[in-house]
Amino acid sequence: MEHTDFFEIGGKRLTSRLFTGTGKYGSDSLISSVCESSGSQVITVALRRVDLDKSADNVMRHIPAHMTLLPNTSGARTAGEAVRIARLARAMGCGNWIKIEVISDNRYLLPDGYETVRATEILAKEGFVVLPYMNPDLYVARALADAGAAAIMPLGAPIGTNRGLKTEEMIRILIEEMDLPIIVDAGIGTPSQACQAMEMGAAACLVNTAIATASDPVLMGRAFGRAVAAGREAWLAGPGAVATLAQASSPLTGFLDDPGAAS
Amino acid sequence: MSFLPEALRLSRAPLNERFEAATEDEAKSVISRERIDEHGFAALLSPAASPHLEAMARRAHELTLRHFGRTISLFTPLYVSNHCANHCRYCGFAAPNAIPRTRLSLDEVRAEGQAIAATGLKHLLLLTGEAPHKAGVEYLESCVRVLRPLFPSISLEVFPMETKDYARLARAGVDGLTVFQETYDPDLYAKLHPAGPKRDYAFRLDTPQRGAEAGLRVVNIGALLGLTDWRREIYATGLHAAWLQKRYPGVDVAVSLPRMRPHAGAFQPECIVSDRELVQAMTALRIFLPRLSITISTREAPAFRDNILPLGVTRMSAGVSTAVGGHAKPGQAGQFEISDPRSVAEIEAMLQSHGYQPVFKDWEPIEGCA
Amino acid sequence: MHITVNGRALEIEPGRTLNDLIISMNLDPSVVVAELNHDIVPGEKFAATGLYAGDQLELLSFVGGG
Repeated sequence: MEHTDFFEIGGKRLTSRLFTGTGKYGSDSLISSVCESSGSQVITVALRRVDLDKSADNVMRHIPAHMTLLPNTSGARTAGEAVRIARLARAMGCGNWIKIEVISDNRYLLPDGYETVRATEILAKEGFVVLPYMNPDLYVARALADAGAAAIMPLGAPIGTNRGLKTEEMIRILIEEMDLPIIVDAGIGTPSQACQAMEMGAAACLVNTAIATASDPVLMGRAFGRAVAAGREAWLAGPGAVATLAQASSPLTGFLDDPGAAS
Repeated sequence: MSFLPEALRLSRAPLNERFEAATEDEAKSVISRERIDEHGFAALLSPAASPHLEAMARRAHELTLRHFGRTISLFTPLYVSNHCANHCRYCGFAAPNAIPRTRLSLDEVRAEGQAIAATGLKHLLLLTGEAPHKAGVEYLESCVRVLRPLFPSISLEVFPMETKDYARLARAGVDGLTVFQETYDPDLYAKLHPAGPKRDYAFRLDTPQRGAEAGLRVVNIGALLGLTDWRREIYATGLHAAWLQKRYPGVDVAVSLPRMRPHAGAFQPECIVSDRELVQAMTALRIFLPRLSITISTREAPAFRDNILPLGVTRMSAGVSTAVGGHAKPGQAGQFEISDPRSVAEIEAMLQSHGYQPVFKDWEPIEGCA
Repeated sequence: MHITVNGRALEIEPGRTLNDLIISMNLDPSVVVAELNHDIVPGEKFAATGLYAGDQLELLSFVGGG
């Protein structure tokens, strides 16, 4: 079947709406197989100081060439640090996408909305395709849109918890109110949860931990790819009618049939 | 930024085909959906949805209860001037009509206000024709200063103004604005408004957003039902309301459903909107925009107003006179015939007997913060 | 002479370029990004960038992350 539903973002035309990550794998050598099995076309990486003591395997070796790289600003505690990391990431020559992640609370790892808005504003002006990771708050989402974000990435649950769409109602509001694509990031633990997010109208899901820490990441990657595609199709198809409401004994529109009451 | 491009696009779009193409299954599935888009809205307005009006009514009732509870806000219009330079073909106050023209003195405005306030009403809708040299911004500002001590909330239904004028009136104590586009069809609009400042379709269309920009809290829009195909008009009204809600999330967007009746006057409505159709229009609007305020005026008859209470209504007028000075001195010619002559006390009793709380006041700006 | 690389003091011979240093550390210059005294040095300028006593150098690369 010819693919007709494209996700256009940052000048790219994606057929897969599953974004994956490269963190937490038992072995980075699994990454290329997961890219293949999941069908994902966007993958996140982080930027770190080189370890001067041991020459580590470079993660880039395992990322297939066709993948769009989405560097994150993990480690940034302020807007200034996020901007610095973003500029360094772009200097790597792998495109201009950036996932802004500003976290200064190491206990809950929740993103700082104010700093995220500030970083988004600066980086969008510098021509980055900015995808900010955020707590699903409508006011922050609007500020991010005004600041020039290309999409909004609300968390479903705190990073790495695999607890599912704990913020479902707030994400639903973002989907309803925002014109920008909503990409659910963080917290999705199972394919059914990713599917649910897509059925709600999310534009995409970013799943890292749940795939990387599965017993069989390649199989789990495929399951997520299919779940995201299924949820998307369900959204496009539109839900069917829920059981017709029972006819009450006194209908609300009965007066319309009563010639005495109608004019 | 303006709704104009969208309104022009709608006026050229083959909407009738879309309404005709909708199927009953489509309409049924839309009714139970948590959120619907403009295609779903079109399906609810389509002839195919008509057999499912009871299901629409139940859904509309459920959504209205969820967002507004069992409350109806009450207000009444106060006509302070009927001078008008416009030639609206359907209006009793149009310039060519040889009727006595008056503008109330501030003492008369106070007397009218006191007569209304004595009924217990706290929300007032101030009306004039469009004759800014006779009853302009300065006059309105004086009226508001006289009325503000009597009414915590004052809305305007006057003539389109610039943003700075709305801001000035907001400072004087105005917090709302009612402006009907009358028809969203620009060609018909031109025919119905052959002369006068109202000819400017685009300036009128942008009025609600100028009010919102000026800090008004409520904007009430509407199309005069009966001028042309009601489905197209309600569809455009709903999209206009959705556009305003999206851009001004802090503003209470309201829609009125003024329906013209066949009458003995010179202007006959092009099409008559039946009760059933009006109910379809209202319930479709409610399902499309659950947070929308919906205003039903005394153009509608008492029995019909009572019956549609649960179907989406959130505001009603009561104790109405559409004549200038009609509250202190009843018995003069009004802008249009009202069908529900009940007093405020009667409407209050009716609402209570239906299990609804009449709300007289739900707003009062704190001085200095308006 | 002394420079600081990723927060660590390092003794290097004068006259060496950034590219020389990266290769001497068994790193692939194509997967490294450098910030010299808080200014980003693009990869194509590694070979033309000399190092001087007191330089503060940051070398970074992509790693796994979500």
